[in-house]
Amino acid sequence: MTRRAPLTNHRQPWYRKWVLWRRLTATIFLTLLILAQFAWFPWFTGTTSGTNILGVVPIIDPLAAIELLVASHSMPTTIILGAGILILAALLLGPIFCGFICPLGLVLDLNQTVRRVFRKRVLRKTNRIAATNAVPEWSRYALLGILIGFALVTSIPLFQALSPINLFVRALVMGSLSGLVVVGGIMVLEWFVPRVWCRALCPLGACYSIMGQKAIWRVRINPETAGQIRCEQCQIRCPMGIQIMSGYTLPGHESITHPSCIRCGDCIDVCPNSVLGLRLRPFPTDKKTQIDPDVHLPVIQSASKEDVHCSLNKHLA
Amino acid sequence: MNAPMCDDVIQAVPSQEQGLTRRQAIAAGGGIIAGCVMGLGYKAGGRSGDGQLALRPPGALVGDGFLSACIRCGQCVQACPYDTLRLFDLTAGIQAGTPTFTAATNPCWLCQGYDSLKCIDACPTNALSAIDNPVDVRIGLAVINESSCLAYNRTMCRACWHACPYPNQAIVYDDMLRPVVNAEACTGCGLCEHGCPMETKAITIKPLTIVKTSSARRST
Repeated sequence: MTRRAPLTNHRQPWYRKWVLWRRLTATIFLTLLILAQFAWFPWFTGTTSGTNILGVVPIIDPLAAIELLVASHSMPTTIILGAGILILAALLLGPIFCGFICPLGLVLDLNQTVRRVFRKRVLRKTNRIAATNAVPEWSRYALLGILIGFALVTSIPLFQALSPINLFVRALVMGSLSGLVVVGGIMVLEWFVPRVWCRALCPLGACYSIMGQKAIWRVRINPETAGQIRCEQCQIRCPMGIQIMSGYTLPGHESITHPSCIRCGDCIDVCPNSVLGLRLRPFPTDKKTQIDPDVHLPVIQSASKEDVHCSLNKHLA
Repeated sequence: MNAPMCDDVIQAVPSQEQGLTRRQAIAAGGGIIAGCVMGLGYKAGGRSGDGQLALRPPGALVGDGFLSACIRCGQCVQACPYDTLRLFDLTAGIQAGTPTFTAATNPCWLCQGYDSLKCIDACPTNALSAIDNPVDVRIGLAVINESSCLAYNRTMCRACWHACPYPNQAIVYDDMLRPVVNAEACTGCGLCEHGCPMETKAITIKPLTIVKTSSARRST
């Protein structure tokens, strides 16, 4: 097979912009948490369930605040303030905690990249959505309910004690290493069921999904380029298993409204036609260039990026 | 082979769920009920007294109240200037992430040399409630094992009295110069246990809940 010439109007940079951004922010957050165990860095204390920045600004996990309210019927000002900051951020920006801050998300994301490279280079398999839907997406809402019900009856904030996110951060920050067993277990599990924790199990993610439904910062669809190639790259890559192309980028949608969308930007980075973008406002629509859904366009169902480039070249030629 | 062209039109895809669907609401509601049932089962299993055996930081709510008010953020651990506190790890089950300390190896120094109790300052919830004066701290109660204590066995020893931050108040001497703990004044800081020269400490800090039940049992 000969190597095809690269696509001329391919506007993407060599690096994956959003992947880079979100790994950077998550790494910074984790690094600050780890540094806080040293006496010379007293400005970023705590773990994911409760952090304190500069000794003044409290940041409290909203699920921790809910569990605290249900379990101990108390709501100190610090909690209201700390959770309020995150809830406000989630209302405006969606579940960005999942994509950009969560330390466990960072690890599972890297885990998934390793898995993808291994499958491509070693097993020579393309990454398909395969077993992603083995666990239904609603089970994390059920888990969220279970935690609240449990806290209601027993007055124990169970998720704060046993959440893999907290266990992971505590292992790195406080040295209670036994929590890494759970994290390792999830990492192994995700080689068989990709991103099952974030997509189907994490109650904190469910909490953020509920709050971030009406967020203004979302993956929006450029009507000028949407629906042209139909390469399915976005939905093959989407860690949350959202049917981006078949559900959203065909004409008729302005943005991805699925509550699961964690704003990770993976779909934006893989899109060969710059259809998607993380934006506060919709893409400007120009009636003239809007695509006619009746026009027959090439439909590619191959996962290989080279095939996409090839057909796009053909289409543009 | 060329990529399939226009005759291969995309199949109609089941419409994506827009926003929160009924299924997710049902899942959450069913989860709450299931959680309540699980909680009742957990309570019926008699495991609710787990939180009463550990030594907690100053100002901690007594017993299970602390377990429900603590969000396991670990800020008290990081605030402690003496590195006394540590967090329970996963093996402690539901107590995982709650702070505790071992008096024998590193007791609570009651923030000597500092103007306030740092762990209480750091706590974002009511799990550790404010205490103005370290004298009012009640972590537990020092209990002397009279069979192993040197002073009760014809040996001169004042280690616990010297270690105690409130000597002559919390630990006093009886007429035989043996140490006696004054339950009214003992903060339960554990400095006496730390100072005790015995291999198996002759003076140990017992959590208040245990001390109360055992003394009540004795009196009846």
